[in-house]
Amino acid sequence: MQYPINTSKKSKLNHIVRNPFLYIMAVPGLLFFLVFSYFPIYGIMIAFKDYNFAKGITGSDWVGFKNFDYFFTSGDFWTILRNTLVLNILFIFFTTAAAVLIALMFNEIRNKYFKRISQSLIFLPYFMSWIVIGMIVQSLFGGEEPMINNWLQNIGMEPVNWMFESKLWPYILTVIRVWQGAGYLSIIFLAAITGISEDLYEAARIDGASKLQIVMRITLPLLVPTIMIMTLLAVGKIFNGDFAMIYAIIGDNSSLYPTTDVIDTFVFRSMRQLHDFGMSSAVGLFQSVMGLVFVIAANWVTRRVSKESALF
Amino acid sequence: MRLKKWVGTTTATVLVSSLILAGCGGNAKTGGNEGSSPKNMESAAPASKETVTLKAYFPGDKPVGFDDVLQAVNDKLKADNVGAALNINFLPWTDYGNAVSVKMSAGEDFDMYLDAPWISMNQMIEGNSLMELDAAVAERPELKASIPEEMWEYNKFGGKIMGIPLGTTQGQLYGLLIRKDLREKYGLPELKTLGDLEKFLYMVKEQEKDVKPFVINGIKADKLPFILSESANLALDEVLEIGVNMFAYSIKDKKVIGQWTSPVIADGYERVTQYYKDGIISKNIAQEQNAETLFKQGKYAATYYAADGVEGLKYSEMLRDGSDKLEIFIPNGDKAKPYTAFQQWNFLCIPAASKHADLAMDVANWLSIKENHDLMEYGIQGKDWEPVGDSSYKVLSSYSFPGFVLTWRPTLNRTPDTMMKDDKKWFDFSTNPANFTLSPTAGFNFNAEKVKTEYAKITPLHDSTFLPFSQGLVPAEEGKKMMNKKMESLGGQKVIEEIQAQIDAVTAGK
Repeated sequence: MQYPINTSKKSKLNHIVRNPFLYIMAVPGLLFFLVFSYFPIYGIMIAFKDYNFAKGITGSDWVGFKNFDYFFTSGDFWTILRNTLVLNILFIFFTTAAAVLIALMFNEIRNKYFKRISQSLIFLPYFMSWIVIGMIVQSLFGGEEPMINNWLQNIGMEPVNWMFESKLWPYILTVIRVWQGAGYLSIIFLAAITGISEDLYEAARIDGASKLQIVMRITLPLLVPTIMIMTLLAVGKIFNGDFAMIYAIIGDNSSLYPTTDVIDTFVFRSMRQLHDFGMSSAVGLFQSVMGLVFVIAANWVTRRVSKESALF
Repeated sequence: MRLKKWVGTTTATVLVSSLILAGCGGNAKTGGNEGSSPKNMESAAPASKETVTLKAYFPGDKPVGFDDVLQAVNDKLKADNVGAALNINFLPWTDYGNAVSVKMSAGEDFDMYLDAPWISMNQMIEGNSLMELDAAVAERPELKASIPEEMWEYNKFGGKIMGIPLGTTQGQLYGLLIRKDLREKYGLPELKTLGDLEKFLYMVKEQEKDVKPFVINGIKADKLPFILSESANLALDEVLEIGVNMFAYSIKDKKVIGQWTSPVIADGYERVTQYYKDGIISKNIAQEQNAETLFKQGKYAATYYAADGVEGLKYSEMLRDGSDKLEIFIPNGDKAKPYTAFQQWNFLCIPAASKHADLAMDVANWLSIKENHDLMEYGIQGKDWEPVGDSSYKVLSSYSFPGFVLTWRPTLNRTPDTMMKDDKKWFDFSTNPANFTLSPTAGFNFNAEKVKTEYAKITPLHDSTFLPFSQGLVPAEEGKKMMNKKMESLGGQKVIEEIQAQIDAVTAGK
């Protein structure tokens, strides 16, 4: 499947000349990242400054690593770091696994209409705002008599005090996250599966391979590069707690902080009264640097296992 | 071509005629302006001033029907020959603070905006981004008179007026909103003391199947120990609210202390603990965000009340059926005289970079005249509202201007005629400076710059530890120990010392 890429300069230019539209199509994306990701990088210096509106970014005083102090020395640092990592690892792993499974199942559906409808349905939660999802979760688990407890009691089980049981929430959040995100990811995987040459399947069938064998020997191995790319992209944000999600669902419920407070929600609460650009930027920088370290590490591991699947 | 010519002629005609009209209006009305702004009279032509459009930024959503009202305001500004028109922009709450700071640092040209210590006012002042207004206020009699002296005096920053303080009430009076019908059902007399309240709440718990005793939003619960204390609404040994979350000031030994250690409200914390244990306070309190709705649905017998002109109005719809089923219980109501710093939470600020600061202040002055104030805040008379006496009005449309961003003046305030009698009584009580005791810390505004690392570290404690303890979730004794321990380990002492130093500086100056 891999294109034989010749890295000499001449052939690269050749490649551009031969496929101008491919490159033109890349321009908006490149521009986007240039303007919104690369130009603003110089703002990193805010993290090391006592930023003052009037003096501006370059004019403010340097304070070294002082802006990092509050975050690293706060008593909850390790809890928050652990929560962020644990939640993200759960999210990435289960979302990917579920998405692969869904994509494989979609690939086996032969009825066109059923396939389309179920794809749309499973994709739908991705478009829901976290605020809406937060309200659904509240009505299921919140209130004095949560709906889930009614169901539990109906099947003869003990009711659970959901809003106080912080241990349960990493699982609940993972389920919500999978429900919300797996559909989207599965469409990407399905597209990758569709791209696999039909010849391979035909050959397998002629050789008498069973459905399961085809999936295990052809579809999955050829899907691995896509899975790796998606995972590597997700790993880059492993230090970013999903603020919109966590805050919409957990809100200010302090009983659940021990397992659900992530870097972003913690910083939000710390900065509620200070609004300090320097301190917030310091945390943002920390998240990005750690994200980069993790991406490089994950890529390195990937290269060791299978060279083609690595991102770079 | 012909069309173009026609358009040109029409525009010219309209322009000329509007100039003439404006001229007439100006001549007829200048009487009031002459005295107040003699400087302008010298420089500008006496007839009609050129209209300058002032740009303003406020937080929130644009009110329904705002365009019509703004048009009417601008027409009247023109008719009164103020020389200004308003261009008001509403920015969403979620990024208002960031948006205005960025606009400010980018040097955008605008003339007024809402700021406050809880948005970015201290930083703005620090960065010399705001105009000092002392002289401008002194020159504008209507503006000066519409706001009580105490409010001007105690809302200065570094001894200077850095923004027009916007507010209606002069201090905080706390209490509970009670279901009167239930109280009467049990034959209980009007609630006078915390003992009466307790009897009522426990009675509801025992007698009612579908009504629970008490509901409050989790985030508001830090006020519970104030309300449920024998010291409620009195000016005793401690100033409980000094403007920094979780801290209080003890007058006897002139020390900054944690609210959780306060002897004055220790009984409040005990009650909260007890009530939570006994199921008087909803078990759900930590995550409760719908107290208002639940109370309105009749599921609870009591909820939080503050005499701020907002809290009580939320429930006025419950009385739309003509019933009289709500009443307000203010602990120590008959002798209430709480401490206040006369501090306001919202300020109309003028950026130092504004090119039309004088004009912006003229508009603020113009808005301090009852007629103009009413137009901006309540809308077009006859269409949006109808006056009921001098201090009340009947709502006719859904126009609802956020007065706290621009127009709130304690002396010009009207309350909707739907406001319940008790609520109006306590709200009117709260707008009068004479009903409050001047706090010894008045004039103190915490500036966290020097201890911001420590302050950022202890801020999350408010939600994670202080609130659950104020909600009764964590029993009083245990909560106190936890607060002490965490404060100590996070450098809270440094924050306390800094607050102490700043308060000492204020009290020393008196």
